[in-house]
Amino acid sequence: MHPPRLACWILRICVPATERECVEGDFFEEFVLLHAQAPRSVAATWWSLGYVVRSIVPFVQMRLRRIPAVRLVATNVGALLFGAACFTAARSLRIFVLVHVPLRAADRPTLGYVALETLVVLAVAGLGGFIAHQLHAEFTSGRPS
Amino acid sequence: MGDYLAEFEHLVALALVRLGAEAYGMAVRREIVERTEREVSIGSVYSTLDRLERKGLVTSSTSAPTPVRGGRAKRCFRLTAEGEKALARSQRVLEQMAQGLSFEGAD
Repeated sequence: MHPPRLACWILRICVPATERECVEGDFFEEFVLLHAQAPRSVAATWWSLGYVVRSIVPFVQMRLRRIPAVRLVATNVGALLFGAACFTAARSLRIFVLVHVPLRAADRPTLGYVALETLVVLAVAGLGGFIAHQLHAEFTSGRPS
Repeated sequence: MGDYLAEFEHLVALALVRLGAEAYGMAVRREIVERTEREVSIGSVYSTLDRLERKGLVTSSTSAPTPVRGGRAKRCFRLTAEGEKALARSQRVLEQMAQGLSFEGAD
């Protein structure tokens, strides 16, 4: 008596190599238990397929987490998107300040204008950093998958 | 301030304590399913155990292959001292939050 080949194949593909033997052993053990309870039923076969399909996403996530290149690319793409969002926000605020705050009387920006613009950029960067920190904490904490 | 366990991490840690030396993937999954009556995939269990191990809250060891598992080895998990502290901390927080509340309406 053996679990369905399709289920075994899916497990072999999804599960990280270091966990494969243990996960396949667990699967085999549970399949045998279920099959012993209802030997003539196809329930064990259906159960095994459901068991494997439900585990695909967590195992693939686990596998991706272990590849340094994937983490590096994901971090860089995230940082790029985050930087673009900060830049856009800072530009919008700069335009808003230029239109609504009459600090720039002469052609050369005044000290007050430079200070205010610096303050705006720092505030946006600080807010962005805070949001990034919150997101990081959220994504690295444990959640049921 | 140390780590607090998330809900599923908390369940997995409690299952490890309950199962003791027999805490391996399938046993942990079955323990959670039987006690919480909630369907849990083996992938979620291993993913959580992997995360706890990376945090240093869980440690694992591989046992010898057995025929009942088709000649495959078993990986047993147990909480580290830091894991036990984190579990106690999370449990205490839950109990403190629930203190004085009644849940008569809950099924």
